[in-house]
Amino acid sequence: MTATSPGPLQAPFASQDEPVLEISDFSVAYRTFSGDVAAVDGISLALRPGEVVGLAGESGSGKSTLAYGACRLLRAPAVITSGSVTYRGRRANAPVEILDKRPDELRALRWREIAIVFQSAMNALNPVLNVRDQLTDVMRAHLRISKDEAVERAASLLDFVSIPRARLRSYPHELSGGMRQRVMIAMALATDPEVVIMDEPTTALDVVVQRDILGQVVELKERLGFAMLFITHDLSLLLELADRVAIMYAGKLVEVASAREVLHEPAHPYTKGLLNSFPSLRGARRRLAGIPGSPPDLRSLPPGCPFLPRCGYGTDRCRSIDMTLVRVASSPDPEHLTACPFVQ
Amino acid sequence: MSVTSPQPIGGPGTGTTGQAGDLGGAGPETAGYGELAMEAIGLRKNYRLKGSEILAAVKDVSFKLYRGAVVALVGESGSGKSTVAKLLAGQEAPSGGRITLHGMPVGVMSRRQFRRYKSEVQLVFQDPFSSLNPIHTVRYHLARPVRLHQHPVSKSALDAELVSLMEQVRLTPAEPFLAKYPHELSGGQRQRVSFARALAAHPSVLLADEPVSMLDVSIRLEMLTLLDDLRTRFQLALLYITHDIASARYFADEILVMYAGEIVERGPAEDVTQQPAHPYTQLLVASAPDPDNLGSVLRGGGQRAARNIDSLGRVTTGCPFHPRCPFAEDKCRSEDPPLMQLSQARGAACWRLDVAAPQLVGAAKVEPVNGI
Repeated sequence: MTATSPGPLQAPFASQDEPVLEISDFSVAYRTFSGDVAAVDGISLALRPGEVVGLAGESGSGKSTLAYGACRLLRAPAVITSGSVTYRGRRANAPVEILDKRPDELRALRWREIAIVFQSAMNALNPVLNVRDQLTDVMRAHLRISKDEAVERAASLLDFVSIPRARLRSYPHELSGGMRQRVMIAMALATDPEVVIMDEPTTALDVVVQRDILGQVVELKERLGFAMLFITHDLSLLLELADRVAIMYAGKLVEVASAREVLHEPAHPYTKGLLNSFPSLRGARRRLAGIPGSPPDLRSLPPGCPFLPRCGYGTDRCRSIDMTLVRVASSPDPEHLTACPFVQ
Repeated sequence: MSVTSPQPIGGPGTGTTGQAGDLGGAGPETAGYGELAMEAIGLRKNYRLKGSEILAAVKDVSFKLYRGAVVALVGESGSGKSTVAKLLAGQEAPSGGRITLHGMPVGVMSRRQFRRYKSEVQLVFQDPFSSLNPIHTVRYHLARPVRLHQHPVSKSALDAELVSLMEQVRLTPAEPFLAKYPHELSGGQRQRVSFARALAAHPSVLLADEPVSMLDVSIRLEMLTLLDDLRTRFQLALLYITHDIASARYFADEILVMYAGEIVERGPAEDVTQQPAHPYTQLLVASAPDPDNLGSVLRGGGQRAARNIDSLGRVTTGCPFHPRCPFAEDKCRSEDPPLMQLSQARGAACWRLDVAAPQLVGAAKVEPVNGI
């Protein structure tokens, strides 16, 4: 690939259909006594209606901070230092600038329009409420419906995620990990949101349960038509699930492309390294290399490319690049972007 | 039962044993590994629950660990794989069965014997963030086992041993790392300290319970390579406990698949992952994320048989997997199948192997399972 640079792009996914959620030049810093630590640094990412965008990266790469920041769920010492987040839902008459909203306006937006499935369902569910009350609480807070309607809807939501209706009376501790995660998903879908953010929803689960749940999520997505931002460290899972994949490293996007391009023609050395880190179950045994070195320390990043210390292709000029995403000219995907202008 | 083939081996209750171990492709005669280090024979562990209810966490598990060979114990959470590690490490007493170390039975031990045993059998835990003491330096973590197990004669002998340990796990230069506290280290570096601490006792058996699953994906491979390197260098008999069957394929010589406390399939790693015989292993392999298979099963809706049942939903009679098994028939619901021998090195505990894995059973040899 040769990286011709038509200059920095505003939004990686700019296209004819308008994104339902558009994050532009978004930065989040953690305030510490020894100065700001940039956890998310100038990221632009867009989610089109009905699309599954996968956000992959190691722990500390800023993927969860990005998602929570975009919903304004972060608390001090995290502060949003730049950027905009625009929501264009079917129910909203005009584009909504999430970063300009007052807290009460945010409450109306969150869950009704943008729902989140958190990583740890055990901590996210209220231990003293049974499943029915958890689900109806959400609906009564965000939708104008009667108690009976809410209960009826809660029951049909459980059908959606294949949990027997008898479980409406169960408390979280009476459910298995897989069932709790399904309840979380049902809760996220309770208000028919247009955007669902899933933060490592199946990381704690066994592969068999994971596949089962994700199969259901994809089915529901087809049926209900929400767009999904799926966050995980498991690139192999993401490649199966997502339409597009965005790879984060040290708070920056390093590559964005369709899942197919990421798998077959990865452009950034970090993506290549990640792909070479997974033992694969099928096919011939490959020689796996992994990525040498340790994950970056955000407090002391080298100038230029943060991946340089671990990169097999690095040269001196990498110290002066600004990590702007450029098109991968050789890629058939016009929206295949990489932050590395050098590697072929 | 009039099955001629596959033959049951080491069935429950028979208490046997040698056979099950002979299955191990990791025998010295087959692959040139070292001597037999540890053997589990019909191991059982029951936990008492509320009232008089009993949870059988480990049921009749037998295997052998040879020096220089890796055996992977694969299974979902709750399958009993960590309990097996605790039994082998002497942290829990088995409810039944035997463990031998270098051919000697392991039983009730005096304090001195227990210390000797500990120096031979070491554990590495999953979470390097909680298995190191935050108020002590790396030096402290390593010096203690060195003093306990090796009795160094002088301070300089101790220091030399510490530096050598740090070099074995490639935490170099050693001196500055020895002075650090756990919070100053990355997850990978901490896990290296755990490895070094285990090696400090000069063990012959290393039990690694999910040693890389808490680490970032980009460094997991490097850690497994290090572990692989250590087992070759020190001729360690390694038990690798994991839920990730793909890593077991790359890293282990033999794979044991556990389900609900039982070993349901065993065999050489490549054979088990490429041609799984037991329906549960088949489900496990089919469920693993597969980047080479873009937009595949997930879009098709995936497995349906598995819904809402995990191995903790206890099955009291028959095969523990029968409620999830697409091949289950009456016999599966009433009788728990023993391990059936498929080949010299392979076995699977399933009544329906002729249907589940016909290519492995060899259609000609199979008599239909008699009517029940």
